Amino acid sequence: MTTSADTTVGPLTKGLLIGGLVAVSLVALLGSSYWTTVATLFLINVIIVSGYRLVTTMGGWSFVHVAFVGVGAYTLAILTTGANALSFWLGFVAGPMVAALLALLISYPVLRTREYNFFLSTFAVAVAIQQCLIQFSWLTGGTSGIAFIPKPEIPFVASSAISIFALVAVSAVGIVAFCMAFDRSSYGATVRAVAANEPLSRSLGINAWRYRTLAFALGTTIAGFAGVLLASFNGVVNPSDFSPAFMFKIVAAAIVGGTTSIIGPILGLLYLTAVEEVFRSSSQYIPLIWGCSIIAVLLVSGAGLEGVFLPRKAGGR
Amino acid sequence: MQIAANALSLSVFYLSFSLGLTMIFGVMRVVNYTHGEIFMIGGYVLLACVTLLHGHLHGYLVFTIAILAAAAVGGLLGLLINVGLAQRLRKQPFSLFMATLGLSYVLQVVVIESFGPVGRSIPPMIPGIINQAGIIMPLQRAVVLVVTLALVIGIWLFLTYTKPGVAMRAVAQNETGAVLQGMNLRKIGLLTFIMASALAGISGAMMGSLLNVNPFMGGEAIWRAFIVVIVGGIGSLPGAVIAAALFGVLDSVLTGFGYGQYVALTDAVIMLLILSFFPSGLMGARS
Repeated sequence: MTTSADTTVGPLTKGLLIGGLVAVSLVALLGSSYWTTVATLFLINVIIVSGYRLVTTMGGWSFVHVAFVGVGAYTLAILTTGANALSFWLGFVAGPMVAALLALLISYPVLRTREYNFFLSTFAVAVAIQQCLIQFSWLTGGTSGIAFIPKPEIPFVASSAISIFALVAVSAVGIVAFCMAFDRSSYGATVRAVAANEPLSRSLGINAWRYRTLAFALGTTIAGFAGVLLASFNGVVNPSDFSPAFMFKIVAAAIVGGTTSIIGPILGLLYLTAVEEVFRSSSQYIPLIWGCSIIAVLLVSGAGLEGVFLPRKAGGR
Repeated sequence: MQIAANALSLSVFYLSFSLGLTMIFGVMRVVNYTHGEIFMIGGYVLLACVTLLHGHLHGYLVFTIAILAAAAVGGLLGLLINVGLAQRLRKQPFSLFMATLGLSYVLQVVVIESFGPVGRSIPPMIPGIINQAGIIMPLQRAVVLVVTLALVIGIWLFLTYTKPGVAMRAVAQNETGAVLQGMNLRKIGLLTFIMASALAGISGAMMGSLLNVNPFMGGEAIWRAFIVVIVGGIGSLPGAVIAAALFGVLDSVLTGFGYGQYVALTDAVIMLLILSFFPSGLMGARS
């Protein structure tokens, strides 16, 4: 059962997060360009899973998250390329805003559903968004996507790889701090209360709908923000970048790590990234190892994860 | 007429695949994500049978053997999933759902490693074309339609008239009541999983024989099935029939008029619209 006590961030957690950030930065700045890439992608994924965990606090497992990474990425790509290219920073702000608007729009149908229906309807929205990216090719470039997306220019930093890493690192720190602050705030507590027992929360006069929308829209907007960073980092966007396989990685991170606190999904992500790097030469087996890891965690921890998955109804009926 | 024939065959196919998903949900209260991968493996069982037997035996015989083999392999997978995962995670349906999601990626990798990532086309086993009353249809497609229709009707009769079928529906309606009547939940769950998975394997073989097989066809199929099952209402058999007919007709009409590329988008939007008004689907019980 998710209680407010679980989300209290102790000094150990803070130390782990700061130590982890320092370690990742050292890898990025001192390692080869390959490791800078790995570190940057890892931090972008940290932003994505932080947003994802925020969505799960309202009691639903979304499958549309990565599609919103795509929404943010495509917003930046469309605004900053072509004949009337705008500046990077405008796209940087517009990406999350478009994601937020779209999230509010789809929250109306999908938040009416619960549990499986929520998962499945968000899955359908994800497919719809991906189809839009493919079919409206006059805007999105169809299956070939959009290339030549600019990188941010930051004063005093010569290397574009380092400047994007710096931007990503600062963003990741900001987002993780924001998520932790949200957890501690009365908003976060109310969202968890609604997830734990919606009828009871309602009877106390809480507008459950509003808080569920808040958690969903905030978390999903963070995904759009990560998309802006990802598009700029990659330099290209493509509909297949935002595939169910990517979504599976985010869900797997949240399952393997757990979602009671922000550190859980980040640890899960660290594990998945480590697997990716270890099996780099035989990458075809990576989904297999991820799949087995999920099953192992679910089978071994047994009842322990139930409070995470279905906090509203013990026993699941 | 051509579009009507296509609509019928598409609806029946959607139903044959979604039926298993909704049966498992009704009895076990769990969504089996691996259903799509069992479908895909059914297609590969067909490929294996055709590769081994094509030219040696009569087409109809090869087809029959392939269907039986796909049912057997699907049923076996259903048995393993039930014993290995479903019985252990019985009390945590959402964890079980996530476990089957993980398993589907595992199975996909296994198939890619065994057969390669590229799709394979399967030579037609039953040659010939029907051209009657304005409908042009390859004979094999007609046979697939008849067999699938027979299968769906068979499942319907099974659920309505046989003792295990009635038991399944009883558990779906009221689990506690069913247990009090002395029904063995474990046995019924096992039977449901085996039957539903065998059904998924058969529909994979059927579909594979019409198009081609590839390791990613399960994902495409499960997404169709999700739409059908959600719009119909999870666990509701009449709902699945209505939704399968709805999307079968809609998709055939869209494709028939040359808007095939918008099918996935239209279906998703329609589903979201329906969910806006019926959050539990058209025939779903309110949770």
